[in-house]
Amino acid sequence: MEQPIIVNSRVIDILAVLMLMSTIILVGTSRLKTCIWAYAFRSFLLTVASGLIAYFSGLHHIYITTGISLLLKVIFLPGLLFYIVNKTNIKKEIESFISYTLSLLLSCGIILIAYYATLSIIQFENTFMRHCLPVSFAITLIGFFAMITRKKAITQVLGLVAMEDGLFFAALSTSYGMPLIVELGLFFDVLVSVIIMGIYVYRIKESFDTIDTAFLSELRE
Amino acid sequence: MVSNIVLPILQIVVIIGLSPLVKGFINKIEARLQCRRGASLFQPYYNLIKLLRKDAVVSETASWIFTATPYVTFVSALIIALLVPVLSSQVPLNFTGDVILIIYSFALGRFFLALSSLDTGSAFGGMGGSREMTVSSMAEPAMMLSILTISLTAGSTNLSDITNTLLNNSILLMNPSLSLAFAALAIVIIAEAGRIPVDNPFTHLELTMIHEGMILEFSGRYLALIEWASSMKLLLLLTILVNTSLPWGIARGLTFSGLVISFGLYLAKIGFFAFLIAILESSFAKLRLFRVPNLLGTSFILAILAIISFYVVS
Repeated sequence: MEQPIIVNSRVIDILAVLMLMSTIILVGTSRLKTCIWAYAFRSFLLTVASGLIAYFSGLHHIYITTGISLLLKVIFLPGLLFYIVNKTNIKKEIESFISYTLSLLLSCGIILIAYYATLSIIQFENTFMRHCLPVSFAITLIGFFAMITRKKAITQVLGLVAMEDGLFFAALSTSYGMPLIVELGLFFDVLVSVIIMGIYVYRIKESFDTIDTAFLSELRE
Repeated sequence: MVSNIVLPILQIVVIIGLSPLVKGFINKIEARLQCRRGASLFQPYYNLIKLLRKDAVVSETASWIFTATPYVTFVSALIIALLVPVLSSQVPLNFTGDVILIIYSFALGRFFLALSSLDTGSAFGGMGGSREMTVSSMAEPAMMLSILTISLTAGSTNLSDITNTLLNNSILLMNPSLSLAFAALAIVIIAEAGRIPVDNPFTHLELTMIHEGMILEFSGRYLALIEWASSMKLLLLLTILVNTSLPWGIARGLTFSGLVISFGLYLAKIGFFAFLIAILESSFAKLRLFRVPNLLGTSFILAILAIISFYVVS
């Protein structure tokens, strides 16, 4: 009985760590399309993890959120982001306020903070899913960090969805998900916010000929 | 007694004999992926034979370092070949060195190559040497940290013990910190072996070459030794990765049947990783030199995360 539980939690832990790696891609790469692929991959890992958690815990409502997350986060939202990128013809690489190496080092520091802050909680927890809480915390913070440091509106959208992924995973791994109605509300929020931001990106591009948000502070014609 | 003689000979023969084949295999797969027929699998052997027959030309201004370098790089690769478990989890030079010696034997060969590239006073050589040292100064911390994580998990720095421990407790391999360490190690191996996102092993383009820039002045048998040593380095790095991340099937003792099975599986695992390298090289362009720190920084961060998550969680 002991052995399968360890294997199960190890599988989820490895998925969590892979999710963290694909979040690091968000701050570490300069290619926009790589970032979107990384987002799709992370959402896929999240879907697999939530499916496995549903299977291991036997809670059926998690299957519903798994299905919705597969449709929404793995297929629809990355497709929408690719559509916006193609439509606005963004060919340039991602621009950041700070250099890539520095942002990688800072995100490493963020992950350290996440591990350190959750240390007092996870050391009392039993063997089940010890990596999940710090990893989801780190994903949320890195998403926030990407939103702050990146210039382009579309990367800020990617940071937002990373934050949402982190929160979803935290809820899933610590308390087997929130009540179904809350989850549905969250999914709907993300969907609407990404669509609205997509329209905004398009409008910014039309009026300023760029999607660099630094230009938004110029109020003169 | 027999094992003391058979095992070293076997390891050296396997590593020396197979290393050009790995290179040929990668080249062949890449040619196939580009819809070419490609050179024969054994082309690296023909190159080596031809180079060994030719005379060596040495610059008049070169000192003894230039002539000593090919032997130093070749012998340091040979010493590593005796320190790495290849077919059996026993290691011939088990008593004298561990994984830290392996890392620094690689560094010794690289140090002499960089010295010899400066020795002849050619501009390209110095450029190649300085680039190689830059890349290795960033790759080495990541390699040390990721290998130390593996050592911490297995409780030993001895590669033979590490392989045995991981073989006996397969559940250790499902440790998230180990998977982070293997990812970091894979990036480092690509940088150390001079494969495509970091260095292009096929061209002598002056603006981009790193390893080729350093060995530009060598010819004849010296060049053959250096080429051979560099292909041995690739195979040895892959062997370290294979025998720690997928240790199953390696022989524990020295029975004939065990060694045969182990050899077959070893070929399959190395072939699999070589195939992955070929796919990676055909799907990525070489990174600009100033982007290389970014890649190696990622690897360093993965290695740091591996060691942190090891300490925090277990």
